[in-house]
Amino acid sequence: MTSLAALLGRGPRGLEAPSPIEFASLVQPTSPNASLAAPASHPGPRQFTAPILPGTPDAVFARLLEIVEAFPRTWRLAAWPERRQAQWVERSALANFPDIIVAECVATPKGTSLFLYSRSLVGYSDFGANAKRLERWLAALRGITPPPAEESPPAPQPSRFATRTSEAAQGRRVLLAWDDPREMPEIALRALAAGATAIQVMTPARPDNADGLLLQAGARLALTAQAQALVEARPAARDPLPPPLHADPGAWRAWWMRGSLDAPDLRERLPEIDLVLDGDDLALLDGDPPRRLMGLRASGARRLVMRSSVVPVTPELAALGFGLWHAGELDAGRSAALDAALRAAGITLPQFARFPERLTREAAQAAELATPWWWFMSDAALAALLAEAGWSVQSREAEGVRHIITASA
Amino acid sequence: MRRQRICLLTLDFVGPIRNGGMGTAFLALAETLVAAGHGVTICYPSAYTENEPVTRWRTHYAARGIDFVSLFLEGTEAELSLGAYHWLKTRDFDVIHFHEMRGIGYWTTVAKRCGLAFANSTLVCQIHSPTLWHFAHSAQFLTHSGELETDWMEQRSAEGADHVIAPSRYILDAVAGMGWKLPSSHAVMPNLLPTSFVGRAAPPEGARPIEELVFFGRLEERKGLGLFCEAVARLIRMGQPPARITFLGKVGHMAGVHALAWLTAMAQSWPMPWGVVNNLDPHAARDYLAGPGRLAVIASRMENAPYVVLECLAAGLPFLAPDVGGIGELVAPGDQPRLLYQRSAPALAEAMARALRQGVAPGRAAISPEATARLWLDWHEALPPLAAPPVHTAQPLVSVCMAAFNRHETLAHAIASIEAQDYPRLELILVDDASTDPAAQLFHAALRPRFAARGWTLLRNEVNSWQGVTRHRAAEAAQGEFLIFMDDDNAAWPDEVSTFVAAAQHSGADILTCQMQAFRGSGPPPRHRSARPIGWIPLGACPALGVFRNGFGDANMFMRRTAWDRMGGFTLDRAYFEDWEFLQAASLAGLHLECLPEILFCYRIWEGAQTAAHDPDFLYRSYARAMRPALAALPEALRPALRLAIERELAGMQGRREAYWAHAPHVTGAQGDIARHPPNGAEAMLAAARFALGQHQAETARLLARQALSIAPGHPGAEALLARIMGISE
Repeated sequence: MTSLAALLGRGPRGLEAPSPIEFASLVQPTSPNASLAAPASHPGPRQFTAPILPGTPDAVFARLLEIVEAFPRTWRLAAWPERRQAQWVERSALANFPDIIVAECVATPKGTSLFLYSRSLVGYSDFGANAKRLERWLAALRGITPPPAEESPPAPQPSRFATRTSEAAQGRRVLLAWDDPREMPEIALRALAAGATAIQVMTPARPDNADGLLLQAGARLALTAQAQALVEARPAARDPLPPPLHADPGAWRAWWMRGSLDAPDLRERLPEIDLVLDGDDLALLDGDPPRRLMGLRASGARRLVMRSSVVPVTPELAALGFGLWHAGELDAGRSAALDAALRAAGITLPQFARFPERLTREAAQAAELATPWWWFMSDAALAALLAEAGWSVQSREAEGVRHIITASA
Repeated sequence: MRRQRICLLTLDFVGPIRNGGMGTAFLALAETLVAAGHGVTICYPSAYTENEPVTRWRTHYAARGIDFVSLFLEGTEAELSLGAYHWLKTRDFDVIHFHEMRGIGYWTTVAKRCGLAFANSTLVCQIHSPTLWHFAHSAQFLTHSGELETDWMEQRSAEGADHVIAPSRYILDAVAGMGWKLPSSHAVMPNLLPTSFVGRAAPPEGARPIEELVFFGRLEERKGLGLFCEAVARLIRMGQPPARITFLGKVGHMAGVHALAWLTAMAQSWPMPWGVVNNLDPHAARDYLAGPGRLAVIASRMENAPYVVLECLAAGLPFLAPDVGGIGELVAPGDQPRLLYQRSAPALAEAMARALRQGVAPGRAAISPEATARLWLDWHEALPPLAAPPVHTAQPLVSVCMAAFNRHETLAHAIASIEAQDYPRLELILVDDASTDPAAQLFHAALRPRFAARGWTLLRNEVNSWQGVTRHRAAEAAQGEFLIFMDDDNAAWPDEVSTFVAAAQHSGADILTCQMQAFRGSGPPPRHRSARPIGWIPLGACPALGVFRNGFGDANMFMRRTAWDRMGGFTLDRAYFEDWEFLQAASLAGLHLECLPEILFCYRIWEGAQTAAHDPDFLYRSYARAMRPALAALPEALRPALRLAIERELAGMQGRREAYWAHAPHVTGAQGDIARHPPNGAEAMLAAARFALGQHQAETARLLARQALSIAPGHPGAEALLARIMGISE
């Protein structure tokens, strides 16, 4: 697995398969990009001494798993309950840098404690990020036992995309077909709450705790009843394998299924769908936008709500014949014109400063550049791409340079 | 000039593919045709790219007047070719060019031959680099039956085209020598140069001094890297080393290792510096070679009509090339003696030494780029109009022969799918193979009035006789000119019979098979036809591939009654692969077999239905049945050798758990615990005892544990287990 894959992956994707750590023999790297909290009885070096925590190691481990679920941008990679060890990845908000956190609850002569180890996968120095993380986690662990709050915090406000998709979902059978395990359960629940008659989530890989993610989203959004009803009716957990060929046409099976928009018999794999939602941004797609739009069309849905960033066409861009450009075909002039247009719209892309000419995958990898814009497109170019795939734009709403598009087949 | 709509179907095109010869040829053709006013579409079926996503090239080529279309397909050659056909049939091109490589035009030619599409399109196959020719001249052995599949598709796509063209007489002769039966219209058409290249070409000059030798070509054995290095070593021994050596081309492999690593070892004692330039497109490579003192050296083992030579000639660049394949056809006869060498290390060393001493003057092309372009345009202009396809109004009777046993629910779907056919003249012969399920018997009884109303036939075997006998009985009762065999758990799409009839009438085929849409479970068949088949894609009458696997089609086949009678129907073994055996035998007997590129029926897969495959004897007999026609076609003395070839392939599949072996049960955790011990030792016996105990089979556990103790008296684990069992018993 390359560091680029780790960097470009979302959530747990792009990382090597985790394996348990032997803390007794752990050797920390010489580079300043890791930090370890260990019980006082641990003979080896450590940056923090882990506290004694109330409860048995098993109970502390269970609570640890629970509270980390609420941490932002943090995904569990694996858990080994028999050794009370688990691993997570936390990605930085801006650059998507992945840091691995490993915790193991242990019994010590003075009570339950733990090893907590955080290390960066990218970069020589972490500039103290891992140490700060350990401080945060240890603080959260010390507060493990306070009684739950009397009142739940208010549900977060929906994003504009969530609002538009919910509006579009009323009375429709909805497919969510992008790949963001954090956002999709929320959008799915909001769609159901808004009156969607059924929802189906489909991603190339399904997280092991899909049902758990839905229940957590339900708790966050005060939509617990909808989440529980869906998990009970169509649990993802009891549908371990995707049928390689359709097994029961038209049936609504697990609410979250594994699948690809490229499948030649996609319509047979899916139940009948009215509306397809795509929350990915075409500008960030490291692939072919027409292929994705054709795949969405192949779902059989007659309506689409999607997001994509577009570049406002300045006179300079128009003079250069701008419509649809890939980052790999830019030159200094095109890059400067794009940079100026996006800055005027309030967007500064670091890739222009580092790669004033064309950006290649290899260069992005070498520079550890996270989520670059691969595609630069005008409104008209996006509409043309949609039309080519059989979609006709019905409405569009700008959120800065990011547009929410509603289209019909 | 008559403006034509021309499609170039290619898996190699400048842009997504950096510097392939075929890609250059297709680009040059596209540019030449566009410049002449024709409408040109590039159909690039694949999603594969060596750089940016394929979509990036659409705008690039749109600006040049070329419509570049990608289908974003991934998969085998058969899948790509099938996807290309399905796209092409929805368009209306006057001319469709495709290369033979990877058989990309295979299904398109099948469709035209069978009258499914392209009545108004002229199909042109360009021969550049057939797989088996390439293997033979790369000292590369065939390693997989998939290579036979590719070879078959390549050959048949050339044979099925309206016209074949090739850039050299040499390659046309080579494929004829390989047994390809080219259409009567075949011709040599030299490769074109990209227009931008022609525009920048420098005029030939006198002899230029040489100080740098540039190996020009991919760094691999086929391109003569070994020969070149050997010749350089000779030069050094002759006391005439060049000032510098450059390797200009992508880094490949040599002797099983990375060519860069190989080269580093090979060149460690060279007195002069050397470098590698591996990232240039053809234009940039030409610019590099145009630098002062440089000589392009080509050393390929074999070539058809290499662009490296063509480009050197057009750009006025000095070069040396071996006199192999079609290279000589590119160079003006008067220049051949000084630019071409007989391919050997001494001859190359001598030619390079002469170049270093005397310099080299550029050569002249056998035909100028301008004349080549005119040739291509005239050729298109002179394409004869296509004959109108024959119109068949006859609607012969088709007999659908179906064997049924129990499973009446799926039979109901199968019958309904026949009732829904859009072909008016058919009869269904349903033979109940002595169903034992009372529900199935009731269902068959209920069918009688329905069948009687349609004039269909319902029969019942006295005893269960298996499919072979049952199908024969159905065929005997059939009245039709054509027979179609159908299983009682499959379902036909409504156009199955009409498509088969039309294809048989148009092509004259004796037997037709088709693609299928597999689905699982006992429920109703799919509602929507799949865009492409998933999994198995049969190809047609390829006996060589058919030695190793069924590339012909499923038992759900359509045939003339005469073909059935001539072959004597299916054999009656109680084993798999009756279709494979029948179709291989028919193919070897010279019957005309075609496999259509359309999904015409749905094939049901039952969970666990292939459990018979777990029985080694059943599977062995099945494969032995499939082998019979090929073995029978060989002299007896050679049959063991063919068996060895087939069975080695099968053993490999078995080891990799492919095909039917994929369905064999996997060793579970408990079985694994037992199986990891020597089979006749106490530990295995003890592990089995523990497992039995876990299954609450205390007495079995006791017997096994006692046997463990018998093998290893005093074994503490066995004694402890026995004590535990006794404790439970008490």
